[in-house]
Amino acid sequence: MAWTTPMTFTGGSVLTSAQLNTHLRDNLLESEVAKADILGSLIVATGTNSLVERQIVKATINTGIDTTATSFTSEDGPEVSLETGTRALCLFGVWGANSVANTWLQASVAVTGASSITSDADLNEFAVEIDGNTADNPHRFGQVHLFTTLTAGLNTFEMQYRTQANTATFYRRELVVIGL
Amino acid sequence: MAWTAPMTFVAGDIITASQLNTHLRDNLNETAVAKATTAGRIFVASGNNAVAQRAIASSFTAGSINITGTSYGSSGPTVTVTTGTRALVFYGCHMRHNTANNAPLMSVSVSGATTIAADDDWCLLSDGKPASQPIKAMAAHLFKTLNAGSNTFNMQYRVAAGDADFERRELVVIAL
Repeated sequence: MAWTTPMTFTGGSVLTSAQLNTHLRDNLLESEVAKADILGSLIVATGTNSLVERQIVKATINTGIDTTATSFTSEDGPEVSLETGTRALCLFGVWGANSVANTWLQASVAVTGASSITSDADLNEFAVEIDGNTADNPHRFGQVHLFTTLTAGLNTFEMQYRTQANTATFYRRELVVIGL
Repeated sequence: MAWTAPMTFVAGDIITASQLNTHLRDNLNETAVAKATTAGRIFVASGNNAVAQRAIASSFTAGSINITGTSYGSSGPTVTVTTGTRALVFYGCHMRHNTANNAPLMSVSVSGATTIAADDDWCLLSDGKPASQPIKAMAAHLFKTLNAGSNTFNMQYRVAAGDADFERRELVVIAL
């Protein structure tokens, strides 16, 4: 049942079960404590007088991958799937190096499922980028991006990778997504 | 109306309209569901037995700017949100200095209800690189001394010397 603006009670009126069911039972069932289920989840608004529980999920892969792809490519993740509204806050980090000096490499996050954010142009906007290093000398950087144009529903967030040229190596890859 | 600690009902007592208005109506009106107005907003404690709806907002500017100033200048993007005394801010960009071994620096200032100048204490910088070789990364800062109200967060830039380019600039603010 949806939320109903709590009524104002008047002295001398008869309190009915319908009123208690609407204004006490049903409203309490719309409250954050009634929606809370999973430890560490957030409670977020879905609209006027409407709440939903959202998860914070993480995936980490510490093993390395090599790529020569010059367009963003799905390797072995990491990847998380969760229910979101039209927004999600994404935090990701990676350790990367290129086999040739002064050659850039990028890691970013693609979204599939209910939404589709997969083009090189889109992922380039918020990618982590490592450049200007001596060959095989790494950096480990992070990035934060607020997705604001998702289609509400089950969305899958996956780290993807590319390089300007030569072979890029990525280690210690972490992805955290906060559903909103 | 503020929250009132829910009363304990006693068998045989008459429940009054005043009690229902205080313990049912007014307390329900203090819950998160009563305060929810906009999808994607979160709820934080604003004090004892009080919650407030807060926004997570962002702004992105793709275009490149060239900076030569040695003091922080205002070039955006900006985000304006209602906060309490705290906000968690993430900020980053693609940046490169056009002279080897020189640093481009980026930080965040606050205006509106609060005035906090951009400072190297929470800057993002990259040094020791060959000329025009970039990084793209982010920094984070928890502002803990804001004045509650409408605050504007502004990304700002400087160099120690020479000139630097900044592009794909993103600012994310979690109001608390």
